[in-house]
Amino acid sequence: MKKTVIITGGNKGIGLDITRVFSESNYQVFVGARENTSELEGLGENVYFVKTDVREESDHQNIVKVAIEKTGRLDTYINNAGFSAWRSIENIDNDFLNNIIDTNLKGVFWGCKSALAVMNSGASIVNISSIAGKRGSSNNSAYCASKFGVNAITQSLSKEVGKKNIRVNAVCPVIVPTSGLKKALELPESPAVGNVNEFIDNFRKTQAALPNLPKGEEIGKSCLFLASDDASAITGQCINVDCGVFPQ
Amino acid sequence: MSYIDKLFDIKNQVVVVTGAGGYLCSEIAIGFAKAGAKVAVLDLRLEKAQAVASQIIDLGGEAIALEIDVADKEQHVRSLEEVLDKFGVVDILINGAGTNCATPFFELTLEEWQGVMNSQITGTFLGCQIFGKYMVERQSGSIINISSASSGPPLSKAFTYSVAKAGIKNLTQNLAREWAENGVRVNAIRPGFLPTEWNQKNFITEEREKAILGHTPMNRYGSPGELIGALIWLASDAASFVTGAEIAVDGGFSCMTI
Repeated sequence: MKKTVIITGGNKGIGLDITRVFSESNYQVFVGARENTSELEGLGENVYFVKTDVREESDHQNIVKVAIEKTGRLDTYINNAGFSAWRSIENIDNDFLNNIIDTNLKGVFWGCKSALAVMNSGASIVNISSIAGKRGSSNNSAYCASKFGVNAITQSLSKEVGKKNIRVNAVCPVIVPTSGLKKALELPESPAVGNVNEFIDNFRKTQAALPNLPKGEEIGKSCLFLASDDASAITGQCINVDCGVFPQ
Repeated sequence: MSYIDKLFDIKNQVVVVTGAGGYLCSEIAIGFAKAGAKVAVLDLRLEKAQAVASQIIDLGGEAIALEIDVADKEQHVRSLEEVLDKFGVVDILINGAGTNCATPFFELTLEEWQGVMNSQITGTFLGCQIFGKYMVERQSGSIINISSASSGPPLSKAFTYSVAKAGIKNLTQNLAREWAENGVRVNAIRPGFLPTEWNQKNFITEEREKAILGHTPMNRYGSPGELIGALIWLASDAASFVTGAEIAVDGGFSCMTI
């Protein structure tokens, strides 16, 4: 029997790579995002697009309903949708903060709630967090707050639903140079302003233990492992997938 | 929640009603609000839409009033965006806008013909195209079009209107087929005679009233509130296997000859 996974934001960036990895591993993949993409459409008939705004609880409920109707099961829910943006504290206004919290933090709450309403023993949730969920950095307080929150949801829900044999984990990548991240790095208060490629290269050389920074595919494979029965004893963990930037 | 409440549950669902400032659709909008839906009240006449929206808010419901010329594609696009900004999602669309004219056939001007066709069939087409695309992408939604007892066989005096309603019925069936596997149902209701004041004045002579009621087994006119039950049923999951249907709410008008 093919397993079913829902991936929010699985239409681009790291999410698209996660979608690819699960699709190649014989999963039926439901991608919840605001827009379909040609890359997604090229992935074949086991990948379904369901228009979803992660800020809306009812959109999470909707994609769960569609997945259950089409495949009769939900094995894994991956809360991947999110975005990064740097701003100093004096420039953070209500709209900026609401947008980042509604998407990165509340989006994960609604995803977990909607998935857990139907999940059975053996199912799992994987949240895409960040090492920004474990350590703060300059001009990044809003994003870090949202990702610390994601790790808190992960730990709390693992305790809350563990007795049903449902696992909840997170992966914490560091800089994966997607087009979305590069755009964020061009913001005036980002640490890379004006010099994105040089910043990334420098970060790789000075921060990572390994020679490289993680690729989207490697994030996808970490998720695939956490979703699999091979990870049956792992829950409540927020695992750094960061090429050794932040050993713990 | 009781069994019956759950069966027809549309609480917190978002319904968009075009023509919702008008005689029938204002009642429909208020009916959906009373059933717990959040209502986007769309009409060409913004002040009428606003009046209906305030009535809903006074009842403790949630509503937004928007101006729309349903014959203009861009205005559908903008309306969808505004409803999503306000309520986040759209679950149900009722294409209710549409006009009529009583002009004898040889005197029908092109303007009159196009006016009725634009508001009825083009408006329904555009509503289905813009909101339908959103629903198909979301793999979920229920669209209800307003057909008529004139959709076939036609009603005398209402030449353009009857053509337009036949088109709406046809489009309803075709889109029901098109989107059947995408979680989007498309149905129509077929109201019989629920005359507005304008109808009473322009269409219904004493002689015609006799003909209408003589052809309506219940021997009376309907009232707008009598459409609401059928609409809520079609909108809800209770009708999850119903698509492409034209549901007559007509006091029996369509079921008999003499």
